Amino acid sequence: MSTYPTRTGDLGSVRAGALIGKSLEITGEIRGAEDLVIDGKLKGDVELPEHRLTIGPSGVLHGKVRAREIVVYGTVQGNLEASERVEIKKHAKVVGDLRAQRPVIEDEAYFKGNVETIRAEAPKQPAPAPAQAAPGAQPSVAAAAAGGTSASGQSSGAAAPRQENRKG
Amino acid sequence: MSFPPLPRSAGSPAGGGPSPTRRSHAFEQMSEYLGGFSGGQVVDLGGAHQSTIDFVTGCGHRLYAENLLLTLGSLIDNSVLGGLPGNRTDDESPAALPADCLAFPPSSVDAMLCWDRLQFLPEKLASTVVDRIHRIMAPGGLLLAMFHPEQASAAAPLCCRVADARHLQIGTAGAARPLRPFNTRSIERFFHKFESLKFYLTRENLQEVIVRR
Repeated sequence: MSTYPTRTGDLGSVRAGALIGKSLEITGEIRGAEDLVIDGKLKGDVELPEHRLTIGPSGVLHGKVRAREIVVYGTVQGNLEASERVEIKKHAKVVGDLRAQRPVIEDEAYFKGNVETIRAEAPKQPAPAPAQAAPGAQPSVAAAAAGGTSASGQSSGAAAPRQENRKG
Repeated sequence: MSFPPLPRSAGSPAGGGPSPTRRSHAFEQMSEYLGGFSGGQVVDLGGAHQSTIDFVTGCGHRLYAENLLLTLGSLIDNSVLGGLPGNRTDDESPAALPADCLAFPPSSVDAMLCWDRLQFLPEKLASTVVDRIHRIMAPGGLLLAMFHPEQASAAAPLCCRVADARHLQIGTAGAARPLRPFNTRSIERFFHKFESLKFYLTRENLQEVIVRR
């Protein structure tokens, strides 16, 4: 627990991330650009493309997750996709598919689902100059996709996790 | 959402220490098969183990992991399962599987690591599982199964992990007991819908079987 991110004294700023506490139940999507710890209950998807999501020991999540890193101590029903790693810790319970560069499932975790690794992106090589550039030539699909991903991660960020329909 | 309770030793070798590693000729055949293509669907019915995940995904395949005994726990006799939440006798065990058990489209699974799980299921349920496996496996796909020797009525389910392309790490997990003995003939009958079977007898008198769909 001590490794969880903590808020600073200043209510307006968050030093290391956000926390959904044990007593909170939320229905709705969460998107954001900071680390998040869920210790309560969430029904809905989570999208933190450049950050880390931690489901605490008492956390329960029904929904899909896309994040840079995902660490599960609690219970998840839904697919987990991480651009870096997914860790399912001892005694965690996960039903859903995992996609990550490094999926890690500890002994004594309950897991039911597909595991698929994502290959790490190789550093981009400068493309050899074409002998004669065709007029109106388009960039490759791969390059466009890679650029689009990083751009959206930078520009769409800004907002802290958005929580909807708080129940109490 | 409900998850089956985990027995203390489920998913980890008994005693918590490292399990012995030994060569498996049956798994060697499976490894050769898995190394021959990529992008396939592999199913492990023994649960999720990191070394197996690393091996299978390293071959370029997807791995679906599920502990069959935990999934079917409520359909199986309590005394058979030891710490698992079973509550039925063998005769009462239904022949139907839960909707979420091995719910793959037909002919979509390329390989299956069944280990010794079938020997711990009641007869009707085991036959239903084998029928389902036959339906979801792609023609030509391979299944690895293990059967305890006829006299090993007190054997516990194996906790099998892939160590490398030739070796398995085998311990025990849980307190279940095999429901019935299998000999070569009964194993052949069990998989009669499949194309071929190849038997390997290990030093522990464990029958390892490679079944081709």
